[in-house]
Amino acid sequence: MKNLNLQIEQLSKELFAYDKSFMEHEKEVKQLIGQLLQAKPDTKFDENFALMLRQQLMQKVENLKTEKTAGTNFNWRMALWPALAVVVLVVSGVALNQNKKTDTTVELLSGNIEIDRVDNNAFGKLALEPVAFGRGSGGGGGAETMSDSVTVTQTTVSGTAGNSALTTLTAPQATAEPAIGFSAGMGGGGSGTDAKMIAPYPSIRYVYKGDELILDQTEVNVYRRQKGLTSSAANQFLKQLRFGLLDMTKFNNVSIDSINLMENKEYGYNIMVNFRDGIISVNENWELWPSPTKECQTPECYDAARIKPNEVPADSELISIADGFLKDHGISTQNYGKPEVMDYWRRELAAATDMTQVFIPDIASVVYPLILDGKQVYDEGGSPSGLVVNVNIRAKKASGIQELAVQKYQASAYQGETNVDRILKLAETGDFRQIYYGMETGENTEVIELGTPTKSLLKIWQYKNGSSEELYVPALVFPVISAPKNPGNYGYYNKTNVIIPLAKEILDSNNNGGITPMMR
Amino acid sequence: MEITQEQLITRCQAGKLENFGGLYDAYVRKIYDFIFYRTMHKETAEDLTSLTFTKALERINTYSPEKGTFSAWLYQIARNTLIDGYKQNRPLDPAEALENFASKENLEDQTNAKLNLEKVHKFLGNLDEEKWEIITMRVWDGLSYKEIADVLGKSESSCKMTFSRTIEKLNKEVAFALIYLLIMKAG
Repeated sequence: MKNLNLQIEQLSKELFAYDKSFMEHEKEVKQLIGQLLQAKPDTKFDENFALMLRQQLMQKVENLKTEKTAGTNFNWRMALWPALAVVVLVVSGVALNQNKKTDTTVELLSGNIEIDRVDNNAFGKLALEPVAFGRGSGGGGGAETMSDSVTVTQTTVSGTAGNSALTTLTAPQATAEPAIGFSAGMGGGGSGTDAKMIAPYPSIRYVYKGDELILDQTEVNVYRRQKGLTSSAANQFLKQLRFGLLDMTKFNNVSIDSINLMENKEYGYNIMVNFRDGIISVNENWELWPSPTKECQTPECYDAARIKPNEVPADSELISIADGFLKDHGISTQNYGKPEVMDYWRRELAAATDMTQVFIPDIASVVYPLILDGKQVYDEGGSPSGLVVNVNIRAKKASGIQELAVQKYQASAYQGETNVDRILKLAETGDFRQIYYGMETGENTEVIELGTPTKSLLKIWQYKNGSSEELYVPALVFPVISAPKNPGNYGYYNKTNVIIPLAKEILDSNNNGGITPMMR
Repeated sequence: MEITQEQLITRCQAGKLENFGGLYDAYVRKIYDFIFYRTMHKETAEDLTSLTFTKALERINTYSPEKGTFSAWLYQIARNTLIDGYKQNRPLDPAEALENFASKENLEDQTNAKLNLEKVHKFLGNLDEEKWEIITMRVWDGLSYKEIADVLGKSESSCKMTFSRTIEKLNKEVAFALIYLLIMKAG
C-alpha cells in the first residue's frame, strides 16, 4: 500500500508539473491513477521459467563463443560447452609412451552439449513401446515387458518399498530414480503389482482448470541422444596395452565398452563408465561403506536398524550434500535445473494410518532436471528427469550419481499435435497412455484439478533393431493443483504432474493404450 | 564491489558474454511483465520473452548509450518482437486482451472497487494503441518518459502530452461512468 501511495504521488506530481489545471481535480486524478495502478494484471511470473531461460541463454553464450572460435556456421547447430563432466583418463606416460612424454591426458567422454539439426522425421516412425503390465519382481517393485529385446527391472534405490514403476518405458539399465506417479504404477515391495488389483484404485478423475490453450506448432523438434561412442584416443591406447597373460594387440577391432573403477578407501566409490551408452554412474563401493544391517541375520535386527522419520535430514540439507559432491567432483550443474528431492515416502508417511509400515529408504535421491534446448525434461510419470545424486541418509554423504550422460543430440522436426481438445482429453485421463482410462471407477471417485501446462520435454525409450534409443519429445506438463482428499485410498497418490507429448506420431501410436499384459 | 549495468554492457561488448546474465537478471521480470500486459497470455509472454533476450544477446554489440538507455533498447526489442511474432497470429488489441483479462479472477472482490476497475479496464481497452501503450508503459511498466519516447521513437514532450491528455479523458469518462452507476443504483 505504501508503495502504491508513493507511485500515486509520483505520477500525480508529474501531471501537476506538466499541467497545473490537474490540481483542480487532485482527488479525482489521484483516485484514477490509483485505479490504473490497481488494474495492473497479475502476470503469473514463473521463477522456474526465468531460471530455465537464463540457463538457455548461458548455453547460447557458450555457443556464440564456440562459433567465434571455430569460425564455422552454427546456425543449425548448437555447440554448448558447459563442463558437465569430463571423464579424463590420465594415462601414465610410462604406460603410453615412455620415451616421449611424462604424462598424457586423454579425454574419453566429453560433457559438452551438442545439438545437431538433421532432416525432418530423421528418426523414423515414432512409436511408444508397450507398457509392461504384470507381476513385479520384488525388492523395490519391478516390471517386465513382453518385448524379447528387453527385460527391465526398474529398481528403486536401496530396495525402496512402495511405488514400483509399471515401467517408465523400459530403460535398459537400472536407474536410481524412484518409481513415480500413480499412473506410473503402484507396485509394492516384495510382490509387485498384479493387473487384477488395479481396477479399484484409479477412482480419480482429472479436470483441466487452467488457461485457454493455444497449440500452433505444426512441427515440433524431437531430440535423440547419440549414445554410441567411438573414442579413437581410447582405442589407440588399447592397442598399446600389454598384459602378461595375453597379447592384446592380437585382437582386432577392439574398443572399450566400459570401465569399472574402484576407489579403495572408507566411503569409497565404484565408478562405472559405460562407453556404449555414454553414461557414467557412481555407486558406493559397498564393502567400504559401514552399515548397521551388514551383519543382520534376523528380521528383528533389520527392524531395529530401520531409519526413523526424524533421522532424515531436511531437503535443503540433502540438496546441500548433493551440491557439495558435484562441486567436489567437478561436475557442473549448468545443464540442469533446480534440484528436487524425491521424497515420496514423506507423502506416504503423511497418509499412512500405521507409520511403522512405511519404509524409509537409506538413500534419498536428489534429481537435477536436465534442461535441453531450454526445456526441462520429465519422465512419463511427470517427474523431473536428469542427473540423480543419491545421498546415504545414515552417513549423510553422497553415495553415488546416476544418469551423468554425454550430452550429444540430434534434433529432427516431426508433426506436432495442434488439436487442443485431444491434448486436454488425454490430460484429463491423467496419463497419455490411457492405461486406466475407461476402467471401472469406484463410488468415491475424486476429482483432481490440473493447472495451466508448461512446455517441456518427455524422455522416452524406443527400441529399434535390437537397441534402445533415448528420445526427448516436446510435451506439455500439467501441474496437479488439487491433491486427493484421501491419498491413502489410492495406493499413496504421488502424482504432481500429468505429461502429454505433442508429437502426433507418438500420440497416434498409443491408440490401443499401449498395454501388453504380461503372462506367465 | 558491485558491477554496474554499464560495466556489464561494456564487458559483453568486449566479448565477455557471460556478463549478460547480470543484465538478464535485472530485466527478465520487467520484460516478461511488459509482454504479458500486451498479450495477457502466460505461455505467449514466456515465448516472446525468450525471443527478446535471445535477440538482445545476439545484438548486444549494436547497443549504443548515445542512442538511449539500455532499458529503452531492450524494451524496443521486446516491442518489436511482440509486433513481429504475436501480431502475425493474433492482433495486439488492448480491448480484446483487457476484456479477456477483466473477466477472470484478477479483479478485486469488493463490488465497488470491482466496478471501478472494470470501468478502468473498459476505458483502457477503448483507447487507441498508442495512448494505451503510453499509459501502460508509464503506469504499469514504470518507464520514464525518456524511455517511453526512445521505445516508441517519439519525443519526450509528445509522450508527456499524450499521457496527460489521456488521463484527463479517462478522468472524465470514469467519473461520468461512476455517476451513471450511482444514479442507476439509486433508481
